[in-house]
Amino acid sequence: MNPESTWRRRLAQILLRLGAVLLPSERSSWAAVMRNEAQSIEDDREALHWAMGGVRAGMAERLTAWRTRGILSTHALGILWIGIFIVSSAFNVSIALAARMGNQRVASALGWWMKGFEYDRFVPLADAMPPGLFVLMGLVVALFTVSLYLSVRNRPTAFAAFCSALVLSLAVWLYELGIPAYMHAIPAQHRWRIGICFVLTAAVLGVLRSGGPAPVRGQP
Amino acid sequence: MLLAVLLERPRTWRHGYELSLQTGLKSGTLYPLLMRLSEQGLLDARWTESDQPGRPPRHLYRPTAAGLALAREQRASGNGAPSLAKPLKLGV
Repeated sequence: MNPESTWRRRLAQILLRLGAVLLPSERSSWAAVMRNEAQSIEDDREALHWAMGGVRAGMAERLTAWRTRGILSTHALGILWIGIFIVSSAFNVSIALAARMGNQRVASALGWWMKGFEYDRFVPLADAMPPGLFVLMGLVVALFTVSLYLSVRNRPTAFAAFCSALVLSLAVWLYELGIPAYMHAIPAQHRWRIGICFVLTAAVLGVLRSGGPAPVRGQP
Repeated sequence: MLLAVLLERPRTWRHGYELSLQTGLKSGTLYPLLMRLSEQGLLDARWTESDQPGRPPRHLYRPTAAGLALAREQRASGNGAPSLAKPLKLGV
């Protein structure tokens, strides 16, 4: 049987090339090992499964290499996660302030990042927000920034700072949800994204608290 | 499990697909194990010409003395599971 004859064989070759690319350089010689082994398998379907495994092996080895080099440590992911929260909470307070102050140009420029954003629909929400809410939103940004700083410095208090920021952020969001103009101003997609982000973060924190992977010092 | 299978015929060189069939491990699990075992000096590996014309050379494996010692140690402590090894399908 010609190893190149069927679409399964061709797909297997593509997957094996992908697996070879994924393998870290110190393991690159194993790409030929997996490729030759796949070519020695008579059954096309089996060869394709073998090649799929080659991609998985390449991916696993790449992730292991990243972890070993500290590129993908839990701590680094935690810092990245806090960074995302800082950017999104800063975005929220900025766009709301811009709309409240009537700065359409800034609000619309920021709204470009929010699919379905319309300035005219957003203004009633910003106007309905009490000044204290803006203060709390600013505090959320500050607390997330503090938790990022503490995380980078590997301080155990980073976890508490992150949790406080998260709870405050959730409280602000729930308050916003109670404003009638909110549903009209914020596109459904964006609302879902915020909700999922809270649920996901709460789930990770829950796993850490219930004795899953031990929290790394300073990791949210 | 892999070491337990290798322990069955420790002097025999076996290729990756054969080990996959015997252990039930998919290639995505098997190769990272083979890489580590080789790296740790527990597994010998060598290339051999394929017995089928027009096919590329294949990698063969067998345990080193250290690998055998570890496999025996694991079997003695009950960690090994030689009985889980699947019978080899011929005609591969």
